[in-house]
Amino acid sequence: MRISELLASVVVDESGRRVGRVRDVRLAKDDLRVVGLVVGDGFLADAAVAWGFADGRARGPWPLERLTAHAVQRITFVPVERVARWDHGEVVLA
Amino acid sequence: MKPSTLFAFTLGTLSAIGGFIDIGDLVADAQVGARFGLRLAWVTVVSVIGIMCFAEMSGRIALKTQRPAFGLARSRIGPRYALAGLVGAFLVTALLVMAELSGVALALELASGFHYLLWVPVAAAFVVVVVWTLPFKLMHRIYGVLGLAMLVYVVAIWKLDPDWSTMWRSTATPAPVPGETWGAYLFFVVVLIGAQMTPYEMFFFSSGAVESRWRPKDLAEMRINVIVGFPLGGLLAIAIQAAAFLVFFDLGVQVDHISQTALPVALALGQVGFLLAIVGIFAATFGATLETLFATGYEIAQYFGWSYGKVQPPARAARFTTATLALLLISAALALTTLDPITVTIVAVVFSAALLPFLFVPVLLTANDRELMGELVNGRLANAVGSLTILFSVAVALAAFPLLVLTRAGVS
Amino acid sequence: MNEHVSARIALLDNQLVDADRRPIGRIDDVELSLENGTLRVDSILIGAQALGERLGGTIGRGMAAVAARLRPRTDPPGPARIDVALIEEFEPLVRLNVPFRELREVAGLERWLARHAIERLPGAGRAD
Repeated sequence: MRISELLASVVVDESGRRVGRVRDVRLAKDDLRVVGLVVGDGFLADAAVAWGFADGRARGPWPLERLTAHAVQRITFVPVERVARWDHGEVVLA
Repeated sequence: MKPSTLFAFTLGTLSAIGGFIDIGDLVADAQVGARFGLRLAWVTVVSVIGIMCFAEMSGRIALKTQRPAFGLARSRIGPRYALAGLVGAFLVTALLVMAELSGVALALELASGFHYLLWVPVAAAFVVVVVWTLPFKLMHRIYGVLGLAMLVYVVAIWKLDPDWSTMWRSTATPAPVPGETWGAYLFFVVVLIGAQMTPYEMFFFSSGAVESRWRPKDLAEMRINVIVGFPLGGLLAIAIQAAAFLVFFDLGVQVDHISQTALPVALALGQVGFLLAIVGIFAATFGATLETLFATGYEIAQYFGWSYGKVQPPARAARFTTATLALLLISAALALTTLDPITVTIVAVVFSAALLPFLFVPVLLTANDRELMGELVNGRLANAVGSLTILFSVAVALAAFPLLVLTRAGVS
Repeated sequence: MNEHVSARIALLDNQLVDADRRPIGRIDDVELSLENGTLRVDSILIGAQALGERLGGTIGRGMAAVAARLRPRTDPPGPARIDVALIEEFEPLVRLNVPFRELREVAGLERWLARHAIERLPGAGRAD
C-alpha cells in the first residue's frame, strides 16, 4: 500500500460511521512502523496538518491560524491498535 | 563594524540594487511616469516593504536550515499546488528572460547602432560564457557594481531642476490624472507590483545565501543587505518614474521603446549621462537575466529534489544544468520572433503578479515552523507585514487578468 | 509523541541525499507493507513515475506513463524504489548510507544527461 493512498482513506468506526479522513501517518522513529493515524475533517483540515497548526509546530501567522482553528479542534489521534482492517481506501476501526 | 562586514555590506547592497531594477522596472516605471507622473509612487513603497519582508524571511530560512526557501514548499502546500506554481513560474520566467535578453540587446544596439535582434544571440551566448566561467560571487558583484551606473537617474532629477511642490502634489494624489481611467490606473498598480515584487529576487536571495554558506551568525549581514539594498532599488525605481514624468508627461509622449527610458538622462546630463544610463541598463538587464534564469533553475531543482547550483561541477548537477540551458534557449528563440519586448514585459509582469500568493504562502508557513526555525522563527512584525502583503497580493492576483482584458493591457 | 514522527513532515516530499549529502531527488511516495498485522515502511519511491501516480488525473497519468517508458527494460517494473534499510537518518533531510553511484536504479535522467550531454561540454567536470 502506498502512503499517498492511505492519506486519502476514510476512517470509519465499527458501526460504519465516518470518523474522518486520514491526514497524517505517525511513524515510530526506530523501525518506521505505523503507530497511529491523525484523523480529521472540516474546512482546511489537510492544511491544518501540513502547515503545522495541528501539532503546534506553528503558531502563526494569526490569519491562517484562525482559518484552520475549526479543523484543528476536530483532529484526533487514532492509535494503530484500534484499527481492525486496512481496506482499499478505507480504514475500519474496531 | 569590522572591515570584512563593511565589505560584504557594500557588495551585498550593490547586488540588491542590481537585482531590484530589471527590464520590468525600466519599462513599467518609464510608462507610469510618462502617463501618471508620481501618482503611483506609493505602489513602489508597498512593493519594497513586501519584498523586503519576504526576502528577509527566505534569507532567515536559508541561514537556519541551509536550504532555500522553496525547499519546503512541497510538503507545506502539497505537490499539486507546488507544481502549478512551478509551471506558472517557468512560463513567466521564459517570457521575462526573453524580455531581459532583449533589454541587454537593446542596450548594445544603443551603444553600437546595430539592430537589437542581431545582438540577441550574442547576449545569450555571453550569458552562457559568464555563467560557465565566472564564480558565483564574482558574477554577482560585477553586475552589482556596474548597476550603480543607474544612479545617474537620481542625478538627472536634480539636473532637470524640477518644481518640487508639483512633484510632491503628484506623489500625494493616489488617483488617475485627468483623461485617464481608473481601470488604467489600477492596471498599472498591478504592473508595478508584478515588476517590483518579483519572487525571483526572493529565491535568488535565499539560494545565494545557501551557496555562500551563510549561517545563523550572518543574520545581521543578511538583514543589512535587505534593509539597505531593496529601499535603494525602490528609490531608483521612483527616480525613473520621476525622470519620465519631468520629460514626457507635459508633452503627452508615450513610452513604447526601451531607448526612451534613457532619454531623460541624456537630456539632463548629455552624452556622458546617456552612456552611463546604457551601462546601467545593460548591467541591470544582464544581471536580471542571470538571476531569473538561476532562480527558475533552482525552483525546478528544488521541486524535484535535484542537485543544483554553481558551487559544484555542472556534470554533478546535469538535470539542473540542462533545464537552465533549455530555458535560456527557449527565451532566446522567443526574443528572435520579433515579439515586441515591451508588450512581452508587461504581460510577463502581470502573470508574475498573479503568481505571487502561490510563492509567498509556503515561505510564510515555513518561517513559522518552530521545530525547523528554532530561535529564528517569525516574530509578530514579520507575520503581520507578511500576512498583509499576502492579502494585498491575493487582491492583485484576482484583479490582474480582468484588468488586463478590460483595459486591453493599459491602452484604455 | 516524541518517539513518533510525522510521515508528511519527515518523509513524504522531503529531500533525499546520499551518504555524501549529494541531492538525489524527493521522496515522491512511500510504500507500506503489512507483516504479521504490523504496518511499516517498506521502501521509499522516487522519480516522476511515483509522483505521477500520486498526483493522478490526466497530467499525473501522463507523467507516470512517460517516466515508465524512459526506464531501462532491465529494471524491475514500477517506480524506482529504495529499501528502507538504506536510510541513515531522516531529519531534517532523508540521508542514505550509500553513495549515489551505488544506487543504479534511481535518478536515471541525471545519469543519462550527465553522460550524453553535460560531461561532453568543456569544463563541465565529471559526474562521479
